Amino acid sequence: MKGGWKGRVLRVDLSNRSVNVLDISHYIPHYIGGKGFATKVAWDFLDGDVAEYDPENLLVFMTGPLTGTLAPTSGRGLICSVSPRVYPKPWYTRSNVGGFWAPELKYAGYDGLIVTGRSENPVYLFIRDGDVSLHDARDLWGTGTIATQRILKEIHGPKAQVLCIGPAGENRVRFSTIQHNLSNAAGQTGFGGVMGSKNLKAVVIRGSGGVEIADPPRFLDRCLYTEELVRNGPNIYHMVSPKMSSPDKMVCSAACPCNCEAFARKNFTAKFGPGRLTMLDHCMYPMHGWDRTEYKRQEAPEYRTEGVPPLGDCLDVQYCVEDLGLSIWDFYNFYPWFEVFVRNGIVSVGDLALDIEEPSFWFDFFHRIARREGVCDIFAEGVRRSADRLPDLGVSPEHFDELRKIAIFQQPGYGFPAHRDGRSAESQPSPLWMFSMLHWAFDTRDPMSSHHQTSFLEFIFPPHHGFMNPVADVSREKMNRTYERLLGMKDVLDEGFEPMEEKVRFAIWHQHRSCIKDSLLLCDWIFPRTFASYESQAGIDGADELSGDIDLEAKLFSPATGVEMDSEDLERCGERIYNLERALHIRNYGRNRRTDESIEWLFELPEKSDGTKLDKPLFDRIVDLYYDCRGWPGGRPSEDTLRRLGMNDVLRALYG
Amino acid sequence: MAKEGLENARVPKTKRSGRIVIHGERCWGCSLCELACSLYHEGLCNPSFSRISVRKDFLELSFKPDLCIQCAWPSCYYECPAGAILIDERTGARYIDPDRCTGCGRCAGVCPLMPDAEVIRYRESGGKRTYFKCDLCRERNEGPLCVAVCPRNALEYDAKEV
Repeated sequence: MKGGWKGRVLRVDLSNRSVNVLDISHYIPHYIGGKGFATKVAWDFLDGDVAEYDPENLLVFMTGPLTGTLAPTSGRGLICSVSPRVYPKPWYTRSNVGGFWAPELKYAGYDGLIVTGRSENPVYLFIRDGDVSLHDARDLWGTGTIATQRILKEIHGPKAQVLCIGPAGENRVRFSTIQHNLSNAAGQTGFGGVMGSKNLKAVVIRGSGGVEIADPPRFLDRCLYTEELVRNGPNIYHMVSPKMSSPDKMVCSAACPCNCEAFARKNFTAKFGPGRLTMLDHCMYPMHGWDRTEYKRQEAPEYRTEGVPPLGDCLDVQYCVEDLGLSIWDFYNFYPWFEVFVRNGIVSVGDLALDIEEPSFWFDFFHRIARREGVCDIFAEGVRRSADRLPDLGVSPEHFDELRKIAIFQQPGYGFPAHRDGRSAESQPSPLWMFSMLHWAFDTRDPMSSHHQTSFLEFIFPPHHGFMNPVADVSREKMNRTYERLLGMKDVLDEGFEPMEEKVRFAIWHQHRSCIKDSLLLCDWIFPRTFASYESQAGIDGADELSGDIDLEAKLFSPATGVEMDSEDLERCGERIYNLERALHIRNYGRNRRTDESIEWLFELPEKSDGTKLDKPLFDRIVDLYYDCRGWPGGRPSEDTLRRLGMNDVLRALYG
Repeated sequence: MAKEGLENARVPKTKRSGRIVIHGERCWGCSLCELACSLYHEGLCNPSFSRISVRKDFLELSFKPDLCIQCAWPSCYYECPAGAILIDERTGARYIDPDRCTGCGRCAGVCPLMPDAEVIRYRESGGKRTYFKCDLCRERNEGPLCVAVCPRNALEYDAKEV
């Protein structure tokens, strides 16, 4: 072990307040790190009958071999556990979180942290290198995430990194977050509730060590080379981008050099917030009149007007949501759902008056959710579960059908919200939503967060072309030529379902790449770097194809760790990780073809932009082909597949 | 004694240094400078071993890079009892020779920026402290690495005084 990894994971049992260090050097390098290590930890230590709020549930914080290094965008980390969000029955999944905590954990000397058990009283965990201690957190219980972080930094110094929960996590809201800094969070998976169930208010990390690099000069060269390629920002729709970003841009995570749309710091006058906020800026639009497909980039200048911008109120709502430790994304599910209530003349539910156009309503609503007050005790279960309890909400039966339909539509797969998947809220032309469908069918959560590279492709096609500026103008043919050159796959972006096998293999390639990226760990917006960056549209027009460098991950991995691997080797690791996750879900939750098919209905709806749709026979054909390509007869990794991937322990568990 | 020390200085006292100018308002706190610096000088990524350090407050979104300003009249250079602070011929950088450093900490004590700005730091090994500070990457022909790696142009190398 020359560089990158620490080979050690810290294990804390809150029930008996014990701390020990787990040697995971045998995971290296087959499972890379991050998602790979976390899934292996779950494979080794998580039983299938462990429920989300059981003390036995594992809360795993994991880093990758590149975490804490200079590798561009390597500042992220992964949190894994049995997710309270998953519907109908919680299972194990992951959440990728940015910020500065993951490098700090590495500097403290660990690849990861596993928390189990349940403390009798609220505590917080303080890790200072080898010194690990639990501290009384009764005084912090009930405190918002921002104040909690301030207090803990006051105690442990400004360089300490804090992950914490707000009142929402304490009260086990199913969409509560583990919050870090202003806007970094394990958002979708409801892990805040898992932390709350363990009576763990916060994890405070301070590390004084570093990350060893096997070949510093070569690694430094590769990092500088990578930075040059990725500086323009997210792939594809930022193919053309000015070198310098506007002054209000900022980064979400350590080691990020990218000009990114996602995070901006705004100076504005706000009533509650610090007057500055980081955010997904386009996610503010709904408060301005809900229309997810039509919100326009042109509205952006409103941010920059003098005085109090009209968005100030909306930003305050976002600030309050983050302070309470809730996922902002559920706002976009509750809003359209409540719209249906209002449209049907239901102006109040229990003690809640539905003045949904008023920011003050949302303040009140989220505060009550976080504390599970009155009828919000039910809404704290999330849109999908609330829809099962319409009688308890006092809604009359004639509205049940529509309200259920819209709720399921908002959170269509495994209880997770849809996002850039076509159909539900936005259009995504053929064949792009076929890739979304394949990701949804085999993932353990909403796949978008790990597969931006397929979702982003939509920005080059109508109707989304030009939705984000500046955006490249690229023909389908040129994109096809690029993929043919990079992957040897022909016509993958042609409309319709053919060539079907190429398209299935294209989705699989992205799934493996997603595992690599989630394991190293790198940013999903930036990797894999399938397309090159251009200074201007003329550069794109003059190029025959637009290949970027898909070997970047390997180029960074090898000199950092001293383990020489090329892209093909890494993809094999990615495949191993994908198969391990599948095997875990088969062993623990009986995952099978029926589970995979549970998302099919969504893709039977006609696609918004071009009317294409799936029917059952076609869906079955695609799934059959997918299983064939993967070596998963009947949805189960075959003995040959597991043997080929060197997963003998899994082989024994699945086949005896 | 002090006067004699000045006359015996290894380079004329008028030798000016290049300087890294900090545009603090552009900094977004990514830490790339710290990681590049420690990797280049120490062979590992560790912000605690970086010559540049950024005070970051992600709750207030305020970021302040701290770096040696290579004083025209460097107290550290004049005051070091071991003569461990040298002046680089090419860049003018005031740098610490780790072999001569006795770890007394006088340089950090007299530095006008310390202790608010952590521009002179030390590492400990085998019970011995060795101080280190920015040397403008004096052996790197392309100039200081932190300047090259900063995505925001928040650091700028000004060599005109050399």
